[in-house]
Amino acid sequence: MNLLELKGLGKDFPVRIGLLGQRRVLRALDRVDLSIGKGEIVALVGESGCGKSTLGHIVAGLQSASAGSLLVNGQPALTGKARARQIQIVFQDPFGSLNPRMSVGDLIAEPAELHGLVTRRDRGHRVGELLTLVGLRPALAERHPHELSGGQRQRVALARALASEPELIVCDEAVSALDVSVQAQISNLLKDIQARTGISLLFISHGLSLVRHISDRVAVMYLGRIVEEGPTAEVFETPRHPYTRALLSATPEPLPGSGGNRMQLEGELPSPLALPSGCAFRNRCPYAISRCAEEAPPLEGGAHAAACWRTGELPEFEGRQTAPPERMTAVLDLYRRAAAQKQDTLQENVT
Amino acid sequence: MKHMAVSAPVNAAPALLTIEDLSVTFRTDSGPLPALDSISLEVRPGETLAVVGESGSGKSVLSLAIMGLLPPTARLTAGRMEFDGRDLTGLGRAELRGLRGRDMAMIFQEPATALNPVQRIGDQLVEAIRLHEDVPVAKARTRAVEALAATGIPSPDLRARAYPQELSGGMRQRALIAMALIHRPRLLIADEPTTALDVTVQAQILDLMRDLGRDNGTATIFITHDMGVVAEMADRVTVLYSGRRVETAHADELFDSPEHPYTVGLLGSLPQLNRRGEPMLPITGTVPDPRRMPPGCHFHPRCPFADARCRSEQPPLRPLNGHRQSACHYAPLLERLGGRV
Repeated sequence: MNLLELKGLGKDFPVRIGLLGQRRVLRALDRVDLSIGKGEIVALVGESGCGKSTLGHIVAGLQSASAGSLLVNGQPALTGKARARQIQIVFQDPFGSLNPRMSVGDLIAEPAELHGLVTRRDRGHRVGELLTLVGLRPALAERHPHELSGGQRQRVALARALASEPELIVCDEAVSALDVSVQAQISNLLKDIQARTGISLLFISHGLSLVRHISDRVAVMYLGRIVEEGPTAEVFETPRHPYTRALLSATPEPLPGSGGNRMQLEGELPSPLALPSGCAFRNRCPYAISRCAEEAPPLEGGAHAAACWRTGELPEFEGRQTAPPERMTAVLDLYRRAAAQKQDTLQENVT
Repeated sequence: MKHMAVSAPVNAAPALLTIEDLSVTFRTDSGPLPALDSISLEVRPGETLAVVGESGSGKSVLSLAIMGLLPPTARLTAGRMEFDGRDLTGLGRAELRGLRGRDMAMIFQEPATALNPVQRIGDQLVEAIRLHEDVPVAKARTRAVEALAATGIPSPDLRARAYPQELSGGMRQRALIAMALIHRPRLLIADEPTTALDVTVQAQILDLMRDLGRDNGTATIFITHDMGVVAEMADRVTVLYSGRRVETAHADELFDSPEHPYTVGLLGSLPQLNRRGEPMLPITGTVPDPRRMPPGCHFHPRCPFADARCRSEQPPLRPLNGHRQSACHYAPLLERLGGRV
């Protein structure tokens, strides 16, 4: 049984447009099916406005769905405090989500106390344990959020989420605002925590590079629908939807001479209030045919599914990634070996 | 292809901007705060120089210093800071204003804050044109719409009548680029211009900026922490770490093999350069507090190669093969450290 099962999930926002305040419906999510297994890391990727954060908020119980069902361990999802015990969410901006007046220790202890997971006597010990789990010194419990760096704050937000001992954490762009070196630290940490606690993660991101590294499965969203879903390696190596291909091809690679020769998308994302008929991607898709305007393609294909009428006819995908140069690989290996040897001293110098 | 043979000079034209030994210190309540320490660089017409670094590296202070936009609490000293042969440090406010916007322009990361929210896009462009040129409003308006069209904005005449908040992030960034380029500047400073954008929009903006360099001969200083963007855009690269240059190289050289451990760490933090299923290779810790700068090499507390020498002796930036310089005692890394680790 899957930990999380979304079936036909929909979300409509009523909006008023124009001078006359015409009523319209903005369909943020359209019949989304998605499952997350126990201990699985599933990534949800797509660009601004595709509905990925709305989906994350619905999973975390911060918004309600307009249609469809959400099952946790086969049962209809609980609400309120009971849901917060099962599912937690970590946001992009930890400064906005951590109460600046509370100490780090209080911030982390609060959810554990709320759910009765810790006695007054064990409180300090538990806070220390959670801080250690996210790679921070227990002494940091005395500090306040403004005294911490961005990376440390995000570790505290993660410790606070872990304090409820949830089964799933939704990471909503949780590393996007951090420096690259800190992104890598937190991503390693997420994978490490997943492996140690067996928790599941829904990793929501607009960038693809980290997703490739961190997730077991990936779902790609475009304008409220999942257009491709499958095991991460397969989706990245043999993408079956033109939009996934465009995303991969637009991601800059840190390799010599990587400019040029990409599949360029024309135009802008259409307004979600004026979606094209049929497939929502067709007006930017180089492979669109008349059928794409007539009927929206269903998400089909089993474990690696795509919602595209032409998926079987697409040319072979030429990934832009080539292996890094020999010398680069050698220098990175040298650094890796040195870092492994000096790991303990390096950690002590910082956290 | 943009990248030529590895050792060929990128461009033989005389430098448009030359900076030698630029240092900036901020006056604060708790004493002086060094932000930049002896930065030298030059950029030639048509060339893109990437300045790479993370938060706190001083990269944004550098761009403000060049534009003459540092706050009054900053103290700037420079051996030389010349734009097209003119000494920038000696210019008065009026002369600087004459250069800014016309000969040198800047694009910021967040277009929402760089545009006036209560003025239509077209009016802002008309104002920018008429600030430096004596042209009638009607003519300026035509040029404004042309400038928007040149950045690939669909229905530019319609967008010219829009307010900034009526446009998407990608379109606002294009409007800002249109404004920066309206006088065909000879130097463009782009401070993380695509960081806040989606990848497909980023790809469009990068293509646009590349065309501008090629067609207008604009020299670009591209400030970023994204090594993927650097690989796509830069001819030459300077890596900053806590206010100092730690490595400079032609882009092809840098992406063949970085020669400063910080650059190696930055590249090692990228998922693309790590094997799937293995933990990534991040740099541990964070940049040092400028009030408590570590002795010796500023990077030593985070460097896996650091030894006693690095803890006491600050390594100078010194030349290596080709066009590269590294501020590491142990560069070239493979040759000097390969046997030790």
